[in-house]
Amino acid sequence: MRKTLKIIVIAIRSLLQHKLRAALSILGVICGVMAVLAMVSIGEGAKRESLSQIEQLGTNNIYLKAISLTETQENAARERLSRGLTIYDKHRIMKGCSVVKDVACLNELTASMIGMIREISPQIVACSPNYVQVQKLFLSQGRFISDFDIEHKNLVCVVGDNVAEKLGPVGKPGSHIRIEEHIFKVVGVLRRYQKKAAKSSAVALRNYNNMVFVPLGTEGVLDQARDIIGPIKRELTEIVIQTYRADQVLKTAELIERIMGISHGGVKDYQMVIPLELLQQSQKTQRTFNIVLGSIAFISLLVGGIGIMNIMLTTVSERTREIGIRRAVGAAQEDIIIQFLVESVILTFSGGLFGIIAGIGGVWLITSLAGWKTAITLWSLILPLCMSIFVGIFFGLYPAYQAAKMDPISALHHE
Amino acid sequence: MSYLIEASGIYKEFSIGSSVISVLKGIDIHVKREEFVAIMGPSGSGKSTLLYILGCLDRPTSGTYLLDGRDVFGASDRELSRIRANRIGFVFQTFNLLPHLNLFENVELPFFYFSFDDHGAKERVMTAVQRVGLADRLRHRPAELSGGEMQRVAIARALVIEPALILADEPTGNVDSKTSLEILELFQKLNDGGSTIVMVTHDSEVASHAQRVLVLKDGKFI
Repeated sequence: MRKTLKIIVIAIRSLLQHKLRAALSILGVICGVMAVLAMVSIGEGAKRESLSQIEQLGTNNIYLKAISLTETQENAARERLSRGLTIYDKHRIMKGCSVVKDVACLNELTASMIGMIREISPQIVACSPNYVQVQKLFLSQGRFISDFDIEHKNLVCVVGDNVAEKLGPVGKPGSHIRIEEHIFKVVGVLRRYQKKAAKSSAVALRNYNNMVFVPLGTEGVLDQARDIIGPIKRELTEIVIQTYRADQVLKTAELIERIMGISHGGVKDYQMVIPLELLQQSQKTQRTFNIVLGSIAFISLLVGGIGIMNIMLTTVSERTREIGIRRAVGAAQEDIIIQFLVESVILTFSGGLFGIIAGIGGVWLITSLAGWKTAITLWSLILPLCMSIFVGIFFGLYPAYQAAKMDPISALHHE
Repeated sequence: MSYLIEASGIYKEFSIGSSVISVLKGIDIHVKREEFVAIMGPSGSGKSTLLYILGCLDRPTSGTYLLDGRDVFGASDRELSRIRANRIGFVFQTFNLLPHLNLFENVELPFFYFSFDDHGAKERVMTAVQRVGLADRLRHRPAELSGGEMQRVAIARALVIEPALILADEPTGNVDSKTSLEILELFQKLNDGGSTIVMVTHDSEVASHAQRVLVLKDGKFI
């Protein structure tokens, strides 16, 4: 132990004899480590962001979304008597799949709130009572739409947090708001929904804070636009199917695809979105990204390593006489190898440490200037450090071997 | 008294390109314990080569060499290094001190490779430095010392592990005659204290300080 410590101290002192040279020789490693750290952190940040968005959609869920059709598609749909997503699709899915826990339905309406403050234009949707559980929403006041409301087509509504705030005293359970020609009673207010900022996401998350929910079935009195133009009466814009467990999602999705294919006569008037699948895709993309990142890191550390090897070869030839002296007082070839290896590892390891400090600074700069999400994990610190040690051993080995192979007598007489 | 060095039929050849140069041509040398032997000869006679072979820093091409009764001819690099580390102290003409280490650290150097417990190392370094009379210069670097002082540091380094054998290669070659005398007196004192010394020199006056003088010419003793 004491000897090991001594060897390290001696190595550091030898390196400090040429401070500038040591500093310059580790620049390559510093840059390499910095690049690795910055890229791992940016990658990790991006990954976390997309994961959290996808997870917010629910990895147990499958989404069926109505899509707008072209004229030819519409004609085909009409021919095959497909009416888009309907409440019957829900019933068929419930009956056809045993692992489905719940199916919620949602219909986006083109109605608007009337007579209110101008600045708010909430999105008005009709939905089934279970929508709140399937999407894991919570209420801050009152209740959500109930089965009773659906059955009796009660004109009640639940408002999002933003809407309630804007409405002020009116946005409380018990008060009334006007939507198009009808007066709806407010029965509940949603708790604020933390929507993950989605800048460039494959999935669009709904902003529940800015929505008004009415019972499914009451939209008949509201959705006037549909009465005028809609050639096909589209009943639903979204069906959310929830399975019991995440591993059932893909099988269930296949089954639903088949059920929908049959009932819609093969017309693709809907789109299936599977968050779990998106998750897996994003993980796959991440893997590709990691490979690219890994190769860049590899190249930069290779370049850094060659610099180290160069400097170590110079050091060895400069210290030929020292090698001879050490051999004369009893150093074996292994001792010489260890001595020079320790020096090159100390060089690269300190390069790694400085690189990490510079990398953390760089990541902080990126976050504050470009606004990218970054995450420095333990892994992103340990990996570059380990790599710098490995570079030190790998590129120090040849110079150290050269030193050990020297003939001690000619080394002693080296001028 | 038993022999410390028993070497017989020592041949050493160097091949440079296609030609082979014979440096030692059948050397027999026996050195008793506590003996002070000088090997004399003109330059190129092979005396330094013989010294390095005796010091386990080089190997003979053929021959037998028993150091303290142990055959070292077939020993591995590791074994030879251990023998050097624990039993042999070298003194060179050019001192061969490490310029970036101070006096104390230079004398301490052999303990890096010393096989035994180095707990008493510090005391032993101090004792060795006192024996060569440089106890007040411990923190000085070689560049701050005179030639004679540097050679005394080198001698301290050689005797710090209390070796069985001290080998000196032209120890007075780089110092003036006054210092030369001091160094030879130091060797004599060490010899009186029980050290076995083999010294190589081309100077007969220097050699006269030894108990026994061997003369080497063209790879053979005459």
